[in-house]
Amino acid sequence: MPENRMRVKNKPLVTVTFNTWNCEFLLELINPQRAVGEIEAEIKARLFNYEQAFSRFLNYSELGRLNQGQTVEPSPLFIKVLQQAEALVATIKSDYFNPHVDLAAQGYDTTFDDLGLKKIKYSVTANIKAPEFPSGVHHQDNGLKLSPNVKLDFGSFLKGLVSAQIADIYAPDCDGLVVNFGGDLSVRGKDLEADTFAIGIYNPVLKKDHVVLLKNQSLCTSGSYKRTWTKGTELKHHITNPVLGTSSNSDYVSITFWGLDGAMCDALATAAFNAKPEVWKQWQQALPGVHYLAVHKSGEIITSTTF
Amino acid sequence: MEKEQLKLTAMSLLISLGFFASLNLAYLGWIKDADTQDYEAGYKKEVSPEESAKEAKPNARKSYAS
Repeated sequence: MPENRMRVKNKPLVTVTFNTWNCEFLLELINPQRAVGEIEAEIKARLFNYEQAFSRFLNYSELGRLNQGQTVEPSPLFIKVLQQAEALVATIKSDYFNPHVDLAAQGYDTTFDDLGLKKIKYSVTANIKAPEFPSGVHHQDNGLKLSPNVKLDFGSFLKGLVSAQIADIYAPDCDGLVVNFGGDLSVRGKDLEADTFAIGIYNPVLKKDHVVLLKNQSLCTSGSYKRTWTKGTELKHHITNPVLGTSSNSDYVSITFWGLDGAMCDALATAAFNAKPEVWKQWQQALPGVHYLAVHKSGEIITSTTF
Repeated sequence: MEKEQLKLTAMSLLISLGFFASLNLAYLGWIKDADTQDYEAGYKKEVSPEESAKEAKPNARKSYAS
């Protein structure tokens, strides 16, 4: 009944929420001009494809098979992301950011839902320095193969990359949007009553938000206060220092970077746990439009911008 | 006998009225077929920006480690 459909109007702000990749995915659309159900279905299909290629927890994913020592014929998507990882490492440097870090060796070898339920058995006792990326990736028989005992993990930039990609795809279908993929956000266009989007960065020590205004940017946060577990008596978290081969030992508990490139901001937020604040400043000065905010374990913040 | 006929006529009139009324309501969009309901699940009805803001998820504009 087309007459009925003509009369139906969208809300000025529509929110879509679901869980995927073991975190929450939130999409806010300002004055969407397309069926939101249709957009949601497309996004879920895209995220499914990424998961099939890059999940560490699916043995049959391309990355999962590589990590098991198999030769894998990579999909175009896998090649593209691999190249993006190389570009990120070239800018940030391998000592700070390295997709060869082996989280499974540190005990993070299953999803966090499962990790909390099981008693972890440790097959690796020594901390191993990750090799220079991508030296552990080899082309062999029209496929890719990893060096023995070398692993791949793109988790440190994939959510930032995908959130920015989704934001770019659906920006023409609405006046503005917020893609929040487990705390890694991308915004495009305008908010309901403002040109910018006000985004709160959570301070886990003071339990409050520091608000920044974004326009057509991405903002990504890494934190050592989430996804933690114990290995013996040692408290571990999911951010690994590629040089030390164990959990990063930073005085900062949460680090956020924002700028134009979602993948870069996500990678920087992770890498910053392995670098001194002087190095963050160098990254910020070398990359146009990039800013950071870090929360010290005392709750104090340092930032490259003013509030 | 006339009373019975009157009753029957009134009832058939009511039934016809109900039938045409439901057709009209469907046309106006007050009664929706399954197709329209599915469609509207994607396209929510218009509400004021204030109401929308209240319904917005508190975490949507918050960055945190996950």
